[in-house]
Amino acid sequence: MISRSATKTLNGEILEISCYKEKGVAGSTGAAHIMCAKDCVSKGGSLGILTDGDGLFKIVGELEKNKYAKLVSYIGKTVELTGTEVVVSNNYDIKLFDAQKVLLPKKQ
Amino acid sequence: MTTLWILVAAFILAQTPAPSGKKEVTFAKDVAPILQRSCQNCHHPGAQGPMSLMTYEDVRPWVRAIKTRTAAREMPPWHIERNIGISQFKDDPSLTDEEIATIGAWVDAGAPRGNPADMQPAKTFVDDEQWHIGTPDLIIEIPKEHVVPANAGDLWIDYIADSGLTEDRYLQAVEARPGPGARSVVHHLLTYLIQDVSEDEVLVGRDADRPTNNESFLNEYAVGKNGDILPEGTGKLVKAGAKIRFNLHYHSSGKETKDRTRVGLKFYPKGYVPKYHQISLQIAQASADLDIPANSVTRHDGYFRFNKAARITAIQAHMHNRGKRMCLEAILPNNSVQTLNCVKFDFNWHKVYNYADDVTPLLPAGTVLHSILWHDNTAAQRSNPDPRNWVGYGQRTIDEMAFAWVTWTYLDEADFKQMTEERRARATKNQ
Repeated sequence: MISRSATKTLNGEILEISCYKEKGVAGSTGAAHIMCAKDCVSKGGSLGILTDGDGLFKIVGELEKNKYAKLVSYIGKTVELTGTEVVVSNNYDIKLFDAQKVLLPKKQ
Repeated sequence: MTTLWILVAAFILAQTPAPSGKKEVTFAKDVAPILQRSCQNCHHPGAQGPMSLMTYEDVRPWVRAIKTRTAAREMPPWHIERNIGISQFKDDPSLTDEEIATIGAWVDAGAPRGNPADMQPAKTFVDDEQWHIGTPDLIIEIPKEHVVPANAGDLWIDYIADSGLTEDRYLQAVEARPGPGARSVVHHLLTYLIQDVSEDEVLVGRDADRPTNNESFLNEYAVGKNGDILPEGTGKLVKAGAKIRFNLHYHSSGKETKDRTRVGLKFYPKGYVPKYHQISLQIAQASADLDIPANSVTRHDGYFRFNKAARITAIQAHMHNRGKRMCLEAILPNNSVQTLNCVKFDFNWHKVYNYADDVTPLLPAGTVLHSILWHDNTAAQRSNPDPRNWVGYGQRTIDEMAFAWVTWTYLDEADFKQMTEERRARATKNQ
């Protein structure tokens, strides 16, 4: 690992990453894509959080375990995700977020 | 009367520009055209970039990241230093200072969408299967399908394929490309010809490091490059029985993907012999002398003498993880020095910079090409695996290299004179 940030909170929607890469925002966010995202995750796909301004973070760590068992119900929802950003390589790719806690914002 | 004054005041306010005097910067009018020109080639659905930047909705989640990356000139990846040397290149996606300022101002203003009627028509992309050089005469694929796992570390790998060519032909154009549906996993690729070659074509370097040194650079695929058409009258001999070495950088996309990368070759008509032979070699080598102490920034120099007049058409820096910067200068026979270019180095991007036809450096016989290469073996170099270690030359990524990769043709004296005079006349006319 190259670096780990201080603990911070990201706000954004949980989505399946390969679907997002292939189809963009319109084809991967919102209620219409929850079922196909769940299907992808069951086959080994990765979940990420698409923030408002800082881009997409792939979710790793505790919440990644067991095919994102603790996160699957949040797909398609806007959440608050608390954890640390980790950098493991110098490659230009999606950033990684070691998520510890997920919350639905109160207004939802 | 009061009502009248209120109406007048409201009218005046409506006609007054915003306090800053600056016009509003919007996505539709100002930012989308920049993205279309410089970003969307890589950032559209299914392409190599990890996100699409085609629509406002696609762009909105990334606005702060876009401002940061463009301001640092990390994106789009183009590392020529703009204030030094030659500034005109083919396929140049780089942003001007004004464009970077526009993006910054737009993000700072809350990234307004603006009036959709201001949007240019959406950019369209050619069919992945369409060759930009025209229909190739010969297509050579890697010898087997390569499977890129959904999630894995980056992989650099070589494949060698028989060309199947049964007679010598002169190359007119070349284009390498990922297999169908594999653009998202092929970060970039380089191709090389393996064949018996003349002395000029033999790779400069340590012969023992390769099973054969009869290898010369053919071309590069990177997003935004559309194949190489050689200058008129210039060719490269491809011999019967030649092999192709594909050097690939694969990058997982989150979805298992199969690739059958290929290269298309287009030849001059049979019997036609081009006047000039294109050469691409690793020259001005400093690799053998590399001595990079721990926690230090070093400079090494390399030299190469052009025994005949030469026209340089492309340059590339080659270093590894600690590579920082390369400058190339031409030491002319009259001892004057001409800086060609300086280029920052980032191991993630092996960029070939093709000069625009009108500005290709024309160098008289006896010119010495001088490469100056910097390595950063400190913790400040993000890709440095361990700044506590001394580093020297080697083939592994964690070792280092240092040379210029240059493509050129030798010219006869008459053509060299004519080309330099034409260029001088053009410069005078444009003054």
